[in-house]
Formats: sequence, C-alpha cells, structure tokens
Amino acid sequence: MTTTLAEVRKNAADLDRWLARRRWARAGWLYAFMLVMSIFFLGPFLMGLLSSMKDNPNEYPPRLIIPQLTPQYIGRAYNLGVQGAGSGWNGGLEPGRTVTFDVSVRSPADAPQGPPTTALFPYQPTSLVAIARQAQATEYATVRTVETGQVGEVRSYRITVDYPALTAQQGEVIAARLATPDENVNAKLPGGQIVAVTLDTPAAQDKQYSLNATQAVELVKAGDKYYLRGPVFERTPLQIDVQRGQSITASTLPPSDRQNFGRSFAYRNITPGVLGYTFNNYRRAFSETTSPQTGRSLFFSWVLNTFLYAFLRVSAAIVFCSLAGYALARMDFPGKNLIFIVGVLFVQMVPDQVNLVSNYVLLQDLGLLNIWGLWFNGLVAAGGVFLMKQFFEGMPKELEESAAIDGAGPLMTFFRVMLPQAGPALIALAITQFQGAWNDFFWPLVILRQNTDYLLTVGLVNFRQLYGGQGDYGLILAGAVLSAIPVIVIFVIFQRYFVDTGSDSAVKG
Amino acid sequence: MLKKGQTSAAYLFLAPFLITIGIFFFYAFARAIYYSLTDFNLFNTPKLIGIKPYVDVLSDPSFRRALSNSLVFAVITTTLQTIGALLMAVALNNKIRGMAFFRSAWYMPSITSSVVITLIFLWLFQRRGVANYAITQWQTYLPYTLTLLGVLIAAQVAQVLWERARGLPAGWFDPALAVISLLIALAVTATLSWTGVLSVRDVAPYDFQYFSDRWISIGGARLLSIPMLVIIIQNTFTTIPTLMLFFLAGLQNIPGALYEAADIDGATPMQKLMNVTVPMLRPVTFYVITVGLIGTMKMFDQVAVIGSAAPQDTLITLAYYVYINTFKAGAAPVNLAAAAAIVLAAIILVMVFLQRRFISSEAV
Amino acid sequence: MKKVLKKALFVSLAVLVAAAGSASAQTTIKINGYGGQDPAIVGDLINRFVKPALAKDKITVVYQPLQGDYNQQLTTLLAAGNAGDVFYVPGETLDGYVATGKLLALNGVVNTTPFIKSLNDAFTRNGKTYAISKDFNTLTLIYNKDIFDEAKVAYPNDNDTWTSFQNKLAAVKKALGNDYYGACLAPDYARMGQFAFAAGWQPFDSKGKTNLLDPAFVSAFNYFTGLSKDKVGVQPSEVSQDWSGGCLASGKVAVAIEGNWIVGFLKDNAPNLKYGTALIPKNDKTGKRGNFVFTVGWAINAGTKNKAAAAKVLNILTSPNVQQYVLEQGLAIPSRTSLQNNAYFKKATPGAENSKVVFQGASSGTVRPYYFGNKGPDWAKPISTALAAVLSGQKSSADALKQAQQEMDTLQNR
Repeated sequence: MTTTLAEVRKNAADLDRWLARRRWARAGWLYAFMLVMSIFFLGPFLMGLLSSMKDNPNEYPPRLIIPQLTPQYIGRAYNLGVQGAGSGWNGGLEPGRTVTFDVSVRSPADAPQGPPTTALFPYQPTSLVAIARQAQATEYATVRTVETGQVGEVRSYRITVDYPALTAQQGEVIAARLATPDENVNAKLPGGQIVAVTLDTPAAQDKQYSLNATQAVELVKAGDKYYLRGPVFERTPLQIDVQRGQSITASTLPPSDRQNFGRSFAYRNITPGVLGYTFNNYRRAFSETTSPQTGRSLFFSWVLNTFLYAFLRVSAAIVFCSLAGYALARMDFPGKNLIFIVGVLFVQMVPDQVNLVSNYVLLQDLGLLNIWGLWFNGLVAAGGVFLMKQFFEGMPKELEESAAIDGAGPLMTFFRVMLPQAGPALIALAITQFQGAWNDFFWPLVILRQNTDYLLTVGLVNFRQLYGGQGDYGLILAGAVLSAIPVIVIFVIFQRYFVDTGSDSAVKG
Repeated sequence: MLKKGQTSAAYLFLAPFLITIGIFFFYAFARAIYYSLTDFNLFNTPKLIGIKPYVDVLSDPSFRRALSNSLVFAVITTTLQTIGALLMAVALNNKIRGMAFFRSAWYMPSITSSVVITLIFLWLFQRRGVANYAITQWQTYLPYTLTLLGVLIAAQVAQVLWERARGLPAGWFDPALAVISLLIALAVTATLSWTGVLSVRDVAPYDFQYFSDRWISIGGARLLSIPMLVIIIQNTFTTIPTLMLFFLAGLQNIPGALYEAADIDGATPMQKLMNVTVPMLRPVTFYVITVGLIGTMKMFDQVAVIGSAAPQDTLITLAYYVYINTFKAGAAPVNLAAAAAIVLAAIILVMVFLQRRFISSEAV
Repeated sequence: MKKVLKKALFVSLAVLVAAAGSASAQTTIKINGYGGQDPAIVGDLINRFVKPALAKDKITVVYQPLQGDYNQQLTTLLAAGNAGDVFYVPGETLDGYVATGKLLALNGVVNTTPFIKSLNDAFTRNGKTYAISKDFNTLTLIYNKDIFDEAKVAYPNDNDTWTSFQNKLAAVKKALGNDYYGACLAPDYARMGQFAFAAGWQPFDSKGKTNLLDPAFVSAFNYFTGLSKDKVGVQPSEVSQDWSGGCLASGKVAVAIEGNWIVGFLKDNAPNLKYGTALIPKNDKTGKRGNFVFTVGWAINAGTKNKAAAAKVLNILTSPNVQQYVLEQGLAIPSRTSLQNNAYFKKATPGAENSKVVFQGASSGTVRPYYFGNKGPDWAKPISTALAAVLSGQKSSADALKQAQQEMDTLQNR
C-alpha cells in the first residue's frame, strides 16, 4: 500500500460524493415513478373530464387539445354570448339583438363560386324526460350572408342573425316565463305574479298558438300592460352548406357536426356563451332533465336525494353504531360473543342478494319504496359497529370508572364521557358511511322506483339507456364528473382520516 | 364496578342494531331459505317442494356460467390486487417529501363510486375508444421506444463496467448512471429521428372489441371472457391504492432491526422481500385477502351498469344471476334466485372458513 | 281582513263539499306505463280525450309511470296486487304475463277488427287476445342521401330486391373508397330476422322447435353477413358506435336498418343529415319482403275491480280520435288500419316519410311479431352470437350456424 493519507481522504471524499449523487438520482427515479403511477391512476378521470367538454366524446382519434378549452374559442363563445343575450357566460338569443358569425369558403377555379347557403334549424335535444316543446330561433330570426373579402381562392362571408323584437312598445324589459294560457297568453313574472300578455303586432299574434307554457320570454311593461317582446332562446342553431367542389376553411367557432363530405356544417349553438360552450354537457345534465310536471331538474333532485340519504346514513351511524360498538366493547352481558360473531362478522360476509326478495316485498308492503325505506334497510351498518367496537376497546378504562364513581348511569356515561372522546373515530365513521351512501348502488336500484327519488348512481345509469341503450356519453361523462366531485372534496378535506382508519382496521382485523 | 344492570343497558344500547339486522337480515335470510325450498314465482302461494330448486339451479347453464365467472373473477382479482398492492407498497416505503400528494392522487380511484368508474371504463374501452387509441399510438411509436430502450441498456451496461473498472461499487441498476444513460438514449433517439433514420410506423388503428363474446379458454373450456378481463383490470385499478395503504401501514410497523440483520447477512433486496417483509406482513395480507375474496364474490355493480353492452354470458355473476331471476317480465323463478343466493352465501362462508382453518394469520 | 277570512272559509268549505261529493261515486282507473317521455304524452291524451268522455261516468284516470326496467317493475306490482287497472304490455314479453294469469282476455270486451292484423296477432295466444296495440314500429331502410348523391348511385327504393340493394351498396363503396361504407349491420336477430321471414323461414315449427339450418334461414343469414364482404357493410362498433343509428349519424355509412325510433335520434345527433326511407328489400326468389313488428299494447288487469270502466278507458285510448292525434303530433305510429290515408303520411319531412314507410311495413310481405317463444330473450342469443362471429370474421357461416343450432337445441330441450 503506497497510498498517502491525502489520497485516502480524497478517495473517501470521492466515494461520498459518488454515494450522494446516487441518492439524488434515486430520489429522482422515485419521483418519476410516482408521477407515472399518478398519471396511471388519474389518467382515466382526467381523460373523462377532458372529454366531458367535447361536443362528441367519442371522436376518434381522441384529441387532447380541444377548442372548448382553447382561449381563442372561449373568447369568441363569450363574445357571441354577449351579442346574442348580453351575457358572455350564459349565452342565448334575446329579442332585438343581432349576432354576426364569420365563415371562410374556398372555391377553386373549377368549382362554383357562389356564397354558402345558410339557415337556422330547429334543434331541441331530448333527454330523460319530455320537456314542453320550446320555441325555435328559426321561426323568429332571419339570416343574411354578405361577402366581406377575398384572399386568393378563399372568400370570407359574414352571416348576420337578426332577431327583431315583436313589439315596438318601449319600456321596462322584464324576463318572464309563459304560464298556462287561457284565451290570452299568460306569463309568470319573476315575482310569481301571473299577468296577461298583449300581442300588439301581427308578427306576435301569429305566434299566439305556437308558444307553450314554461317558455322563457321577454316582456315590455308599458303603462299597465305587458307586451310580448319575444321568446328567449337558449340556442341559436345554424347550418352552413356549400356546393360540390367548395370547402369551408374557417369559421368563428368550429362546427359541432359535419355531413355531406364536409360540405354541410351544423353549429348547434352559435350564441353559446362560455357555459354553453365549454360546459355545455354539464348544463345539459341539469337543464335537459327538467321534469315537465314539477319544472325541477331531475339531476338536481338526484344530487339533493344523495345528500339527504348520505346525511341520514351518517347520522344514524354516529348514534346507533357507536352505541352498539360501545356495548360490544365495554360491557359484559350474556350473548355478547354470539352477537359479535353472528351479528357483526357473519352479517358482513353474507351478500345482500340473499335478502333481496324479502326486503323488497317487506318494504313494498309497508309502502316504503323510497329513500326512507332505503335508509331503514341499512340503518345500522355492521361495518360501522365493528369500527366503533375497535375504537372503544382502545380507550382507557379510567374514564368510565371515574364516571361510575360520580354515580352516572350507563347512558349518561356514554353520552357525557365516552362519545365526546370518540371524535376521530366518529369522523372516520362518518366519512366511510358518507362514501358508502354516496356510492351505494344495489339497494337504491332495487328500492327506489320514481325517477324523482333516484340517487345519483342510479340516475347516471339511466343516462345510458337513452336512445335505446346507445347512451349519450357527453351527458354520462359530465354526470360522472359532477357526481364524483363531492366525494373528492370530502376526501381532500378529511384525507388524514381516510388513511388512518383503513390501516387501523387492516392491522387489527 | 359497572356490573349492575349492565345486561339491560347493553341490550338497550344494542337495540337499534339488533332490531335492524333482525328484520332486514335474519328474517330476510330465513325467508330466503324458505323460498329456496318452494315453488314460489311471485304470483302463487309458496308450496314446499324440497330441494328441487337447488337441483334445478345447479343444472341451469347460466347459473354454472355465473358460478364459474364469479370464482374466476374472485380468484384472479384478489391475487392481482394483493400482489400489486404489496409491490407498490414496498416501492413506496420511503419517507420523502410530497408523499401526501401522491397518496391522495392514487387514492382517487378507490373513493369514486363503482358506477362512475364502470361508466368511464366502458367509454375508454370502446372499439374506437381511448384504450385502443393508446395501443395504436404505442404500435406507431414502437421504433422510437425500442431504440430508446436499447440505447438505454447499452449505455447503462457500458457505464457500470467503466465505474467498476474504476473500483466503485456500482450495481447494474445504479440510479445515477441510469439518469445519464437515459439522457444519452434520449439524445440518440432524437438525433436518429432528426436525421430520418427513425420514423413512425404506419399501422392500422388497433381494432379490438372488448365487450364482445370472446373468451380465454383452457383445454376448450371457456374460462375468462374479455369483458370480464376488463372488469378485472378496472377492479384491480380501483382497489390497489386502498390495499397498498394497508400494506404501507403494516410495513411501517416492521422493526428496522430485522432489515439491518438481513443486511449483515448480505441478503439481496429480493431475499429481504421474501424472507422479512412478506412474513412480517402476514396479518395484513390475511386481512386483505379475506376482504378481497368476500368483496369480489359479491361483485354486482359493474355487471349491472354494463348490462346489455356486453353479451350476458360473458359477465353474469352469481349476484347478478340472483337479481335478474328475481325481477323478470311476468312470473319469475324466485325460488331459483333464492337458492342461488344461498349457494353464493355458502361459498363465501366456506372460503373464509378454509382460509381461517388452513392459513395462519399470525406473523412469523 | 275580515272579508278575506270569510272568503277563505267559504272557499275551503266549497272544496270540502265538492271533494265529499265526488268521493262517493268516483271510480279511479290507474294506468301503468313507461317513464321517460310517456307521462307527458299520456297525460296529454287523458286531459284531451279521456276526461271529457268520461266526465259523466264519474271515472277519473291517473297515469303512474314505472321508471327504469318496466317489465321488472310491472311484475312486482302485479305480484303485490297493486298494478294499474290498465297497463302497457310489450309484445315480446307477453308470454311471461299470460303465464301469471293477470291479463284479462279482451275477446268480447274490445273489437279488434279495426286494427292491423299483424299487430293483433302479436297479442293473441290460443285464440285469446290479451292486449290492443298502442303503437308500433317496423324496420325500414334509412339512407343518407348525400352519400348516394356523391357516389352517383340511385337511392334505395321500395322495389329493390336483395340483389339490387346489395349492388347499390357495393357501388357506393366502390365509388367512395375506404372511409365510407354501404350499410351498417348490427349483429342482432332483430335486424336480420326479417330477411329470413322474406325467404320463407318460420321461427317455430309445429312442435315449437327452431331450425336454423333451414335453407331459407341459411340463405338470409348468408345474405346479411355477405353484405360485410369487402367492407361494404360494417358493424356499428367498427365506427365506434353502439347501434346503427349512431352509424348513420357519423355520416360515413350509407344505409341503416332501423325503425322510427331513429328519427328523434338523428334530429338530436345529426341535425344536418339529409336522409330518406325505403321499405326493406324483397327476396329475389319469393318476391316478398319480411319484417318485424315491435309493438306495445294496452292490457287490462284481470284483478281489476272496475272491469267495465277499465274497458271504457282502453277503448278511448285506442279510439280513432286519439290515434289520429298521436300520429299527427308525431308522437308514435298507432295501430288502426284506417290511418293509412292520414295527411300526416303525406308530409314531406324526412321524419313523416319514415313514419309512412314504417306503417306500410306492417302490412307488406311476411310480417311477424318480435317474439322469442316461451324461452324468453335467451332464444335470440345463439343467432345474434353467430351473426357477430361471422361478421367479425371469426367463424365461417356454416360453423357458426352449426354451433347456433346446437345451442338452440340445448335451450329448447331444457
């Protein structure tokens, strides 16, 4: 060995550096691995989220960059919304407004050179329930096409949609909804007051019998009379057709449908606003499920029902599961082991389908095929009892003993002494019960009969039955995203408890 | 001290629980057993006919298919998710910054409802869906991937040999060298692509119909259908994160001294995994398998959501068999449904019993 | 204030008196039917037609929709004895209900002669008619006019035979190349069986057995699957769709074989698609066409306490006025023979045109109900499986049919 001390030191330092470098690199790989796994686990959701904004979620190849999320097009959608209804967010078409839409058409020398044919078309998508037939923009508005310029073979045209007001009266403009007509057309004002509507022009009188109740309209209040300014449209559907040899090269918004070999473009809504453009499917999930009888959105009812059911389940679990869990953990009585083994463990093993017929028939006889019946059916969850039993077993005995010395009875001891100590376990119980209720499917499917009673899970599956089983994936994906949000929010807030409970019961179980 | 009057208090505390399970479980269970011995079809007065419904149900081809599907699904899914979760937990048993974020991200699939996930998977796995598109892209860019991989391996081998020649204790998977190898590989691939040596392959869109009547057979017996395989993938995907957290908690309870002892004995990482980690995790594993088997045998939601989108034989499970035979157009063989439900319950109980009986749940 | 109170008291008293009066003699007839759009439609019919006609009889009518799986719901209601007095019965599930004994035979209660015969047949078992067709559908050829124009091929028409139709499709494919297809072929008995009927196939022989190796069936099977040769025809899934309607809406397929239900779908999903409708082509040899009728009927609960009132309601719901209204509103295609001259069928909209062809389809050639026999929907499975196997090229037609026949025998001998 002829190495000097300095050399040894230098080598040692080298080795240290080498090892440090190695550690850093290892951490890097680890992060990269975790990132890849995150993409793997979140990927399907992110793809679903992205596609829920597309006009056609089934497009192939699936694009990652879509106009609905491109600032340029969102800006235009906003602008068109302002033109059509003064609202860049909601969009729509109101009486007395004018909307312009640009399109460029390439006409090679050997092709026809004429302008495109443009027209508004009737469009009212149907969903789960029939909505009263809405007025269509095509019956009220006119379309003009003017050439605005030419660059080489490409000519640009400006399409102007003009929706004149049906009355010349001036005054306060009021947004209202039509009510059931008698010999007059009636409208329900925002305050709930029903008023007769005056149709003072031939154009307005012409439409008297084609307007249905619940149609959104604008009225002008002049003197003590209300004049019909015209219906308010949620959509302005436009169709542009060019001739053989011509092609459409650009338009203010991309088309929602192409037919006839790219020579016929349909725009389901040229006044969408941001909500109607980027979040169209989300808006549809609410608006196209409006029940004609109640005027309420079914989807909205499902959300409320699910919250109600989750709340009921959680409350019942907090009271009853902790009572039962406490008794099983800390009290001595005959039959305790039997109850634990048969009532808690056995019950969790047997599949729900065993009880299907009996419970269904029983609840039907009691007239409880609704949320309450669903609640009773799973009032005290065996899993919850198990969780609380585990928790109370881990609590120190001294607490009860001192309570007993003070002369408190068992109920008092439980509610005054033990329950307040059970905070973390109760949160964990509440979260698991909330998640269970929110995601419950089998019993809601069996027990809930009216579509107004559905929970989100059952309702979502109903979206799949549209159009004879074809399903409307725009609605399905939007509904799926919406229904996942509350659980995700709860999870993000309480995630510590999710993780803790899971591992606890795992190790002890 | 707390003895006096405790029995009545305890039963008072337990009353809501006992009443609910009494009505909605034990009474219902008894009725199911009774129906399974009658000729009940929802429209007649049930008449006892002995074990005939059980004989009928066992000879019903669609029951047999359901039974086989359920068992295959339960066994494969439980195995995959247990092993997957264990491996991921071992890989992640590191105390590093930002762990909380990744854990949350991975937990996402297990908190959303099976209905939502099934709908999303149904959409992903359409014939012209995202899954097939991803496969098409993979095939298209295969030359790039292969080049990258080849260069990466070559560079790594070269570097490790060089470092070893310098007397440094570099392993074949040395992470620092791998970073350099990766950079080299990326550079080489980019250059080759730039110069036109590498180009994408022109492949037809991958065209596979997942939700159709296709089967993986062994010896001519249809074992596993492709639609079921998709559900297995989906179920593994959603359950791995939860189970992984169970394992992680278990891992953190293993005394570090055991690994140090193994290090002293010169154990390789693989040996450490098989001889220290796996035995020490036995209680968790036991729990995970029990829960997994019970859960997968009861599988219903996914089949019900997919419904008519796949041929019924490919997906029918025992739980779904019970459901569709209870609710039919007109007279329904409710007795058969009840018998099938009892059989399902019996299978689950036997599985749990066997596992308790023959596999020790104690750590060794 | 006082005045208001007094008025309120008076009003509530009046209401009470009215309620008491009506409760004494009112009969309530409950109707069960589909959810979705039907509550609005039937509600409208009740308000417009049933209520005025029954006002003097003190009969009130309520509609209770059954959401979700209708058959399942109706069954449980029937079993529990609280189903409606009148309810919908889908033609294909009739046997299940007949077996329960809960359907009232309508012979002598309702006159069935004004209704299309094939629709009465769909609800008749052993000489007893159990329901009156509410409305119906048959299959038609729906074609994309732009595609035929672009390919310079004549549109399909009512005189097409199997061969001429196939030639048109092949010509379209040849003219337009890879990205376009002639027809959408759903691997489903419900889209292929009509060809077998045209060739003279009977789904059930005298002993109730099904023969899939019958030359008539084989020829139809081969014709249908043969349309996929050279990619002239595609399965819906090949263009990423679940059914032929989605296929047509994609604008890449010239023809779909569907019923009137496609009209609403196309309006929502391909508003600028120009389409026309023609009858299903005729078999070259027999010179006949075949078709399915898909129908839902009105039936009366055998356990009803108000048989006479229920029959009255049923008669009004199937009356000429109601059916004419339903047709003219474009809600459905009702079942009376006399409607064939209705002005609605002469309208030039593609939807009305399709309705006309659907209506004609029910009385042209060999028309059979969409019906599975006593084994239920399982019966059609072997056929659909064989179609899928051949269309996707997994099996030869002969092998697929041989296996289908085996499965059919197992099923029918069960």
